[in-house]
Amino acid sequence: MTNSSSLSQAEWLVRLTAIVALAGAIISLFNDRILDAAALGAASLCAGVAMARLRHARATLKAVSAVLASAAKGDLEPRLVLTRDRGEMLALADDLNRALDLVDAFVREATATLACVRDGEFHRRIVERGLAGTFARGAQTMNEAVVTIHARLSGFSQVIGEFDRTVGAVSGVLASEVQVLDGAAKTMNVAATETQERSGAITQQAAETSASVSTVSSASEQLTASASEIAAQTRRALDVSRSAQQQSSVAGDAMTELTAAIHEIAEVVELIANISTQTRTLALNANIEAVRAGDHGRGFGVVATEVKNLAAQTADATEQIKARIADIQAKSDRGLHSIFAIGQTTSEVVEIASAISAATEQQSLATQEIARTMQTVTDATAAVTNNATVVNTVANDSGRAAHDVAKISGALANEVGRLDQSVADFLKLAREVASGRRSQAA
Amino acid sequence: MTNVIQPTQREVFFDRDEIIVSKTDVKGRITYANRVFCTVAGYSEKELIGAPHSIVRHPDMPRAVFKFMWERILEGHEIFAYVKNMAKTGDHYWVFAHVTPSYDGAGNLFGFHSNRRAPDPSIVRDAIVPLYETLLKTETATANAKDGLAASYKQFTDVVQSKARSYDELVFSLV
Repeated sequence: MTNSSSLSQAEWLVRLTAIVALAGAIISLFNDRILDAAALGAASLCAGVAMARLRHARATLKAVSAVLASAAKGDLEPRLVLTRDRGEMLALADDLNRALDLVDAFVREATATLACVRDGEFHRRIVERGLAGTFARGAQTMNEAVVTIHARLSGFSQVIGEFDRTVGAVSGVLASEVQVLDGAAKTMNVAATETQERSGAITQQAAETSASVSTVSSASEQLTASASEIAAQTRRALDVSRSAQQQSSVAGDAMTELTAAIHEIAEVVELIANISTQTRTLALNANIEAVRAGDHGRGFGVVATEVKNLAAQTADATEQIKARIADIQAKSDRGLHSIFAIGQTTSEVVEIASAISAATEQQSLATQEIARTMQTVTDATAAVTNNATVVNTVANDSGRAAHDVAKISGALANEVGRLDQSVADFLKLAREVASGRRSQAA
Repeated sequence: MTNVIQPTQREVFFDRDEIIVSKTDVKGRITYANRVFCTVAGYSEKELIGAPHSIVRHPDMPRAVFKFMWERILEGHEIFAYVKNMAKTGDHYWVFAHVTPSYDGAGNLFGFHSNRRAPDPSIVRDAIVPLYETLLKTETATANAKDGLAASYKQFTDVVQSKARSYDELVFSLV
């Protein structure tokens, strides 16, 4: 009894009251005290009803207790439904339900909102409407926390974006630069190999050129010698021609004088011919006179006849002389002609010999020039050979350098790749953090 | 029984500090209705317990919205929705409903919990009523109820997609 609740004690007392009243009623009935018996009977009945009401109240309280016990264990689902009581008991049930509804609403809202935050969704807020007192304040604080977290993650996102734009871009540029470097190294290597081959070819060609130049050089020397010989011969030919020219000129002059002399002779012969004609005429006249004179004139006639014969002979002789002179004149004309032609030919020969002389002079100069040029070419070829050797060495060096650069750029590309991967991993992780969504694998 | 009630198109309100709370089993039968529910809907607790939740369904509500709600809730999502409910008198009251699935200790779904708050009247007037009227018109315009529902459901999800990244974001952008 000492551990019993006031309700239990009240129940016991009511039960006792009912039993006592019932006992009193029975005793009164046996003693024929009907009124007493009726009064005690009614009291017993009331006590019985009271007992039933108390049992009802106990049931309600048990239900309340069960709901609260569940709530205490964290089960917010049970409620008091269809409570068959009124007044304080109903108010108790309603208040319990209201309290549970409030806690339930808060827990559901807070859980859903924070689940959204956990999953990277920030639109969800605890609906504060309908939440009262501590719950309202708690909801407000949690909502503020969601806003703050969202703002911080957004800021973080921006920083990551900035990082991506700068570092990401740098690593991208680096990658492409390394690629360019690699390409350049490869190109350089190819160029070096080619240069090596070419310089080898140049050395060979220079040697060939050198041999050719030597051949040309000796040829040009021979050419110079023969050109000198030709020049000397030509000079001699020229001298002889000039001498011939002079001789033909002298011959021409002589022939001209001869012609003039022949002309003079012809004039004298003409004079003689005229005299012989006049003599003949005179002889004829003398003959006629001698005839006239008759005998006296006979001797004279003989003389005249002799004179006439002599004149005839003279005429004949002059005729022959004239014919001879004409012949001589024709021949000397021909000779003059020939001599003139010889002069002309000799002039041409001189001209040609002069031209040959000039040409051989030029040829000689040209050959000398060739010889000088050949020397220059020989020097240049030697220089080319030297340079080609140097180029070969340099190409060797640059080939090695290109190889080194290619090796380094390969290593660099690996490093850049790793950097890229690291940056990408970092960004992925950071974005996940920023978005609030961690990947399943992480 | 619900068919008997004729809508009056008279709106009743409940206090912004109050929450209408109900719990149902997986079939939608009411297992708990709080005092505010009984008062606003005008039903006794006895009338509500065991009754289907559709007891307060208003004929102006497009079925596409309920279809959407059910799909979301059966996928295990919480769902917020503006709902026009009808009281026993035929009067109506707008609620901003939040429905969540309830699981037992073993993680089995055993029912749903619904908290309904007083919505912002301007949101209901400006955004919800015009949308629901459009959807309802689509549903009633088609002779075949199934086709009508499909059409209005598509209309509803299109509107949601055109306005926000997700339905949840859209709901909270309105709050």
